[in-house]
Amino acid sequence: MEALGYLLQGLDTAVSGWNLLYALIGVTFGMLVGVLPGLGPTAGTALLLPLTFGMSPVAAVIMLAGIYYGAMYGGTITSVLINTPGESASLITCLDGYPMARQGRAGTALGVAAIGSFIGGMFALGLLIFVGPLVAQQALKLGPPEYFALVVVGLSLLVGLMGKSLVRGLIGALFGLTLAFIGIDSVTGTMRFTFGQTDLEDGLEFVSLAMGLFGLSEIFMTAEENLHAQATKPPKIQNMLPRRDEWGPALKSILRGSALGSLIGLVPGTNSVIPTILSYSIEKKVAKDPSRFGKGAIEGVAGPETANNAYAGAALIPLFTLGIPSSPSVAILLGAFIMHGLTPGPTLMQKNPEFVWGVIASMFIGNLILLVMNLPLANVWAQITRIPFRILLPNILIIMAVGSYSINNRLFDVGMMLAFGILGYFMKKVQFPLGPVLLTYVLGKILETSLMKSLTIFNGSFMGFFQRPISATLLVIAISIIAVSLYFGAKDKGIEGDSEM
Amino acid sequence: MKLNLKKMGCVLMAAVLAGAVLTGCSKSAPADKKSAASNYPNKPITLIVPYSAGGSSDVGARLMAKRLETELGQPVVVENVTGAAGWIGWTKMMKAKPDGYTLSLMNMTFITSYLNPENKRDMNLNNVTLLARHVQDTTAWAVRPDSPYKNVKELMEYVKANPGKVSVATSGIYTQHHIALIALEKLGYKMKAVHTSGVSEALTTAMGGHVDIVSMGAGDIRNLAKEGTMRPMAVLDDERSKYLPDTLTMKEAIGTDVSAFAARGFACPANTDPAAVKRLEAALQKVMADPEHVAEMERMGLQVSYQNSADYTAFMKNVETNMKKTMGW
Repeated sequence: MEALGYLLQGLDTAVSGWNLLYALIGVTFGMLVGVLPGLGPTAGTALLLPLTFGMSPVAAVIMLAGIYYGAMYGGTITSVLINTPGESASLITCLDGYPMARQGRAGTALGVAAIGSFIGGMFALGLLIFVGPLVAQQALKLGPPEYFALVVVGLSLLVGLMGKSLVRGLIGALFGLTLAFIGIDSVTGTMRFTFGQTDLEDGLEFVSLAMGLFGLSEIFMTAEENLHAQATKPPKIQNMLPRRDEWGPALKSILRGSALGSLIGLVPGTNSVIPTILSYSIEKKVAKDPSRFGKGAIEGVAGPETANNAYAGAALIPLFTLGIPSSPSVAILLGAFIMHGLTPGPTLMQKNPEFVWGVIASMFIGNLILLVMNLPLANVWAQITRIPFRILLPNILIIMAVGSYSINNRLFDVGMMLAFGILGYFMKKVQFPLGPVLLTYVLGKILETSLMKSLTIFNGSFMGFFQRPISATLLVIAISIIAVSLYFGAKDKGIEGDSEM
Repeated sequence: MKLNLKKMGCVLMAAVLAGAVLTGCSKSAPADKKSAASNYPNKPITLIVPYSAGGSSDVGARLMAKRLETELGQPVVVENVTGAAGWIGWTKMMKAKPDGYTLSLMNMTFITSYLNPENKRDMNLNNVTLLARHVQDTTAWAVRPDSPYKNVKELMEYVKANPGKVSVATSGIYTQHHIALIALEKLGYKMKAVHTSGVSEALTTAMGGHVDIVSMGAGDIRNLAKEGTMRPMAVLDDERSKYLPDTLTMKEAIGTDVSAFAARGFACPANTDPAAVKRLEAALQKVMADPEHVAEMERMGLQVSYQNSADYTAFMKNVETNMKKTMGW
């Protein structure tokens, strides 16, 4: 319980002087960059980093960390309201969050996401305080072969997200994998499908792709359907809390999401999309009536939204205990550590306890501020759905264009977003599910690089994957999932057709 | 409707007036043109950083930008133009007006990028004016503290006897880390290169024991060694590093010099107004001579290593020659 004593001291640091204000500024700014599609936590922390030059180290990191986890709360809002993920971690929230909004339950979706995010964040913080150093060391043992196996599990679960037709879903998934090929091959340096375009060398910018396929196509659809249909008022916004019968399932998915997100957050080299996919798939698998998913199931919002916050919190564990950044935004935090004369590593907690515990305590406060900001405000944000489309759509369009430009400061990404918007529009018209395209795109990149790295380490032998306990277990799980799905798929075919898929 | 027309008329008038005022202003501008050279800079300067914000290259450039602002009396705006391992940002700089208001951070990988025939680049060192070198960081190798290799001599003997057995994590293909491995292979030391997406991933992979060695900057390895996380193994240079004075160099181990380093500086488009170039060179030199700047860079693990325009240009030409030789490009 020594940790609790430190935590109380840290709390003292976190509420004293200007630190509380910096936490507030950090989380507010984080919310903002999370809400604006295109601007993410990486850009947000980088933008404010120079401002911290003159601040004390603890104040600087309190503020920058606030941006980082604050953005996870904000990203949900655009996913739910306009079907455009503010950043990749909120992508899967579109699947059920947006249908909820269309049923007039945007407030509930945002409310449950805020509660889930809070619990997930707290769970990860608890992990950091009590078992952090211990587990972080163990998590390092997961290397490229384990990432590969983890992604294979993720891909095998994708079948659950295929929408109405398995065939269309698979075509979409393959299309996403193909898009992931574009750009330089990380092992041989060969240019693939770049057609001599320098802009394509790094592959397609994920955020532009997501905004185009999901967001822009939605705008086109809406414009076509009801730009002039002024009379149909959007449904009245209901309560921001779930219905009584929804509390049970929602809380269970929040708990599952917390555990899942924290576990994956510990593993450096993963990204925040993986826990959300796993969480969504698991929720769908354990639900009594999986057919509700994709039509506004509250568990489909609660689980993944919790998982991404737990992931964000747990990803700080390797940073505090080992000095390892597990994502680009955490790398900027690491930069801030160094810039303020702190050496991240195993001895940081012993050498600078007042710093580490001050920051940890501030994260409790920050999460609390975010909960307070999000829960009552959920309904305020949800009012956006009541703005007439002819005013709302052009404004979203402008924000999206600016957002996609701001990622790399180049116009190419805006053009790409438009192109994928048009493509997405036609795909929606012929009922191609777009989720698999984006998810395989994200997973495909890790799949390829981790496979190539593993094979280099194993001298080209595939057997290596089965000689390591964790990767072998994960691969066996993936194979069983596929086998079971195939078996039941074949069995059900006569009775249900592919309606369940 | 009539009222609206009247309104529109007013707006139109206002617009015309505003336009007239604006043209008046712009007309007065050419009058200053003669003195343009002497009053350079008279508007904000853009510093293109071809990498994403927050990395050590970016932070180094931002620390410079902050001090250049005081030196030049104009805002220096850092713009992160990312993509194609820096080439997109560099293209933007090379195509900018050569008036001294667009600079970029320059890196050695600029040369790798256009030499590599796979990339089909149509610009090279002739398209830029190199202003000054800012940072040089020697590359070094580190292993886990429990690694069986005691020192680099032992390690390289093992490598020679067991080609392709020992693995090295690099921060990417065709980085200085990778090119050093190619040079070593030519000398009969074949190792496995595991290319990761960047320094932190390379380090994680090595810390987890998935590869034997990580190749990184000496400044970073110094910090890791202080924490006891990793053990320095070799410095890829002909002389020992200031950061790792007790670590043997590759030359000491195998008798041949295999050097690898990162060197960054600043550049502007070729044929930039000579007066502006002079002003920039002087300002850069002054900042780098400031001990406060050196100290703040040091804290980031960045070693300030100033070279003036002529020396930096010669240095880069030399890098080009060596790289052509090693890579056969």
